[in-house]
Amino acid sequence: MRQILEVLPGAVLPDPVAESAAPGAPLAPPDDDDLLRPALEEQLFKVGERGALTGSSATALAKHLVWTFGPVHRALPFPLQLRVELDGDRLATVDPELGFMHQGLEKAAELVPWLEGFDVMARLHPLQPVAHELCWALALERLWGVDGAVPRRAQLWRVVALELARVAEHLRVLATPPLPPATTQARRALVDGSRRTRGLLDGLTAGHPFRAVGGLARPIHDDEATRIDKELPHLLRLLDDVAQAVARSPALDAHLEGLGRISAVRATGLGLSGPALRACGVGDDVRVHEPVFGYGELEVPVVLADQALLGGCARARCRVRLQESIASLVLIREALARVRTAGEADHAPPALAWERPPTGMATASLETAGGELSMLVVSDGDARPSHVRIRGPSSALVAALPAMLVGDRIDDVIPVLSSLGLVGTEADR
Amino acid sequence: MTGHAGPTRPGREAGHIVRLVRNRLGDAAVVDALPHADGDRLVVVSGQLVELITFLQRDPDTDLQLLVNIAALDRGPSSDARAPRYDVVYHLRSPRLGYRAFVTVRVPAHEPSVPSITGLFAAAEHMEREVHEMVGVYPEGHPKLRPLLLYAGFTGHPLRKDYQATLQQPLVAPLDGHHAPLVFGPPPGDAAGAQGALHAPHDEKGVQS
Repeated sequence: MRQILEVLPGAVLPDPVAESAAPGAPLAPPDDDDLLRPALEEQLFKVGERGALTGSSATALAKHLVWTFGPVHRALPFPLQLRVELDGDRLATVDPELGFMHQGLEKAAELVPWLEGFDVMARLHPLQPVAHELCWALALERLWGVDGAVPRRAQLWRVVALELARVAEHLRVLATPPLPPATTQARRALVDGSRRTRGLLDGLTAGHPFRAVGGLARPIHDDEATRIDKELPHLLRLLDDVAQAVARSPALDAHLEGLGRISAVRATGLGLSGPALRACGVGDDVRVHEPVFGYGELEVPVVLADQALLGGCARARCRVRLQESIASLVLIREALARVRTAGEADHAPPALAWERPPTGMATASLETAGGELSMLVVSDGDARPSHVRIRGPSSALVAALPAMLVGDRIDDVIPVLSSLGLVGTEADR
Repeated sequence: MTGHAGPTRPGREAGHIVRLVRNRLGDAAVVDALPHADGDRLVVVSGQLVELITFLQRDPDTDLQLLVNIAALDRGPSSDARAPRYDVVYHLRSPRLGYRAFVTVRVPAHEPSVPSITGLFAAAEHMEREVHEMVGVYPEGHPKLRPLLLYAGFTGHPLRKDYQATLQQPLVAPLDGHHAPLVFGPPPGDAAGAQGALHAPHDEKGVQS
């Protein structure tokens, strides 16, 4: 400090650069950053062979970064790999890689007796497989030709289980962090509703009453209907509040606007179904087209996206899910009212009756929370299935990921994946 | 927000698609046609598949715009290589009219291939990849054929009838084994026993000696 102050105005100070550039002088040792830089660049651009820069020209090299997202990442709904090509922070290409959870379930189902197929189907959805079990039951009933002879009470209970599963799944999806409307009340209501519905469904499916062909495996008492009925008004109030809040102030879910948008034509071509297709404005619902179980005597409303929203994006999908949950709760109330007057018989014929089906092919499709679940079974009269093929809604949704994500930003991947409600075991089988 | 579809729309009666196909494309367009309550079933030869599916997708009366699934079924090996061994079932549905159709192609063992329909349905791309890896039926004209659920080093087609479920693969451990596979005789090229423990035969309890 003293030296600086002592410098007089106009004095010529020694130039440090000129001094260091003197010929013969030793070069200054590089600092730590210079030493680390090549290694850092190597790590950044050559992470294995997956993160490498690609492109034949220097421009392409500088522009697009090929990056691998997953298969294990806390933001991913299940082990899934997305190979993306980034243009800045925009996704230029998306290539989903599947199969990290492949269990060979179709092969496994061909190796066990017909009724043990229920245990295989339960592995399609580890959290709540009631829809998959019911789809298997429907396929087997069609194979034996007894799908019209199932007791009415059992059919109505199946509707209650399917709709409860739909509400539980919708609320589970809506309660995932990137999705709920941006108020604490709405978030709490969705989490609370999700937990309550899950509890009701777990109570209803305890002891696996739906793992049977031709009826229920064990009778379900009227008390169960009372128990569910008692919870319904509270659940309806919770969801109505959320829906009204969103309708009053649309900014609450504006953070999802335009994310993962897909047009109705592309969605149909990619085989989407369920809320993802209805969010595009296509009024398609398997429950309406094929009223199996007790759906024939109930009026199923088809929930479509608001046309003003343009539709097809994560926001429209979430709104469809919310409105569908409310509609399903109303449907459950109607079905429960009919269950009480539907007579006593809901038992399935004994399991011995289902050892060897007639020869032939049967198909079954159900509208699950994510979309159409389809099964195809072939029998050659043996005690085991000859062929089993399963196609769940998650498979079509994963196939549609490139169409939804290209053009979006890299940080939109998470809300888009969340809004689809993917089930990994169902996609990978 | 909610659009109500009104009263339930039941699907068309069985035989609707069969009649339309016979009227518009002629009797020669299909090998066999079976009206069915859960969706009409059509059997077609491989060469006429694309024409038939194009008609089913684009005609406003059939309107089967949704490809639900492509399932390949293996009947198992037979002594006659020219006999049909695989059935490839195309499952189509109309989201507007609400009915289904199943189009089956019978594929012989000596030439396991079907024409790709990725030009008609984008959904077919993943499904045909799966058909190829699982059953080994080659979709001719697929833009980018590679495994979907399996990996590049996987050998064989798991959903074929002659594929053993217990077969060991490079990345798949044996199904029933928490121990190394049973090997009889001395391991090849290993006299000193450096890897002897890996190749040692098991005793009755499955424990390596």
